Amino acid sequence: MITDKNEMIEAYLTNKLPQSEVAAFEAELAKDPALQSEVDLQKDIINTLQDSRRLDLKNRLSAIEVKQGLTGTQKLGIAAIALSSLLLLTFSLYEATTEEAALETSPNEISENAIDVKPEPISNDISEIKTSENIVIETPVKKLTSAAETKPTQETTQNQKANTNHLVIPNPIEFEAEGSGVEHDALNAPKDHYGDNEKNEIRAITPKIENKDKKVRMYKYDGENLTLIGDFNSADPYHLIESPKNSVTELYLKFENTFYAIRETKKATELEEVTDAKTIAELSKK
Amino acid sequence: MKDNEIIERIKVGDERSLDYLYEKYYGMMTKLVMRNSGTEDEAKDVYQDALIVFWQKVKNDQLVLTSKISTYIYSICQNLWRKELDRKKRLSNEESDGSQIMDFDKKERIEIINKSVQQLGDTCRKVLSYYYFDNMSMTEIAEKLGFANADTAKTKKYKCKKELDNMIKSRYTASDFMD
Repeated sequence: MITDKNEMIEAYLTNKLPQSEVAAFEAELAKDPALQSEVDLQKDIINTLQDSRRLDLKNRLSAIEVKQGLTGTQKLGIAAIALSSLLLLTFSLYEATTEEAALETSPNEISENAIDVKPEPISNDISEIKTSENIVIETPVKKLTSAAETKPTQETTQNQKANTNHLVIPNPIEFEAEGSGVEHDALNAPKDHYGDNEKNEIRAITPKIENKDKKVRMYKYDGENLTLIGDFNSADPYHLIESPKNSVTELYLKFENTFYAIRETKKATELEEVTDAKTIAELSKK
Repeated sequence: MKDNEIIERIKVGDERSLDYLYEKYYGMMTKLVMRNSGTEDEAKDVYQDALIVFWQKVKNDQLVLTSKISTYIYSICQNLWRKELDRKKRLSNEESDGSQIMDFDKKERIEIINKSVQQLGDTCRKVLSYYYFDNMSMTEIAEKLGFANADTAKTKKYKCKKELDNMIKSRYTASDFMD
């Protein structure tokens, strides 16, 4: 039993007063304005002491400089990585298409060309990145318009969906409108190399690459989206080749001078090397 | 550090565990606010407050941790930021002046208390904060501040509180006379 008034007040305010005594104390409070005002004052004092401690802790935390995940320079870094992987994609697709028809072009020239393909202003702006994506997608489509008459092909929509059943020749005017911010030279540049390619196609699929550090090389393919898993960063970039056969279009991956068949598979599957000499010969004929 | 180890350390008043948490979840928690129309400074502020709420809950044994610490702190951040957004909304919707005038007396009083707290010696301030905020026992306070034993801590606390009360009361009456 607490008898001292101050101790009583403190116990009451810090919830240490036994439950049995709380009601009696509150009854007393209601009758005694002086006691009530003392309680109010003590309450403010305790609150202020707590605030002061809070502030101390806060200052302590504020003094810590956190090397945080995603601000400023690191955001830029990620944008740079994203951009460079886009460039890499642009490069590999571009090189694939170029090499196909113009093998005599030296790698140096190709890489210079590939750099030209990218939209001039490099910025973090999403719309800019989109624009460069458009180039990646549209380039093979352009080719289809000129080489599509005799064989099955695919339509490439803006959201990168490739559909193998329909032949859609994109309206050139649409391209004009869509690529308004893009250098048209860049879009037109590879066009010269198209047209004489009868058999094999470069797919307008932009594969996703995962786990680049892993040494294994596997893939997933759902008919539309291709994911390559593992280290595909080689001096010799991978190519995707579409080969129409008996009205079914087969997809192949060429990587480090080996051809691999890509089949629809939901699970990550190891790359399956093409061993059939005839197929290899056919695929190499480009 | 594992979650239960962090809790144990907070319980004995090890502030470094707070530092540790702060750094560990900084990105995750500040992003929450920044993604919801907060600035980085606001995000920091909310996150620090949330950690202090967490600290206080642990110290007061009010915490039953049924999830990960990060999940818990995350939800405190969410609540605090929601409150802050509400407050901002209210501020822009109505010019709140009435309540401020009503609170003028109280404001003055808090100011007096604050000044007095700042004037207290360092040890006194610590003893009182540990007692009133961290809910430390006299034994814990004695340990933390290097007092001989719990009784010393208790005496110290009593004296410090008395000193503070007297400072406040003398100032308070002085300001009453000035009106």
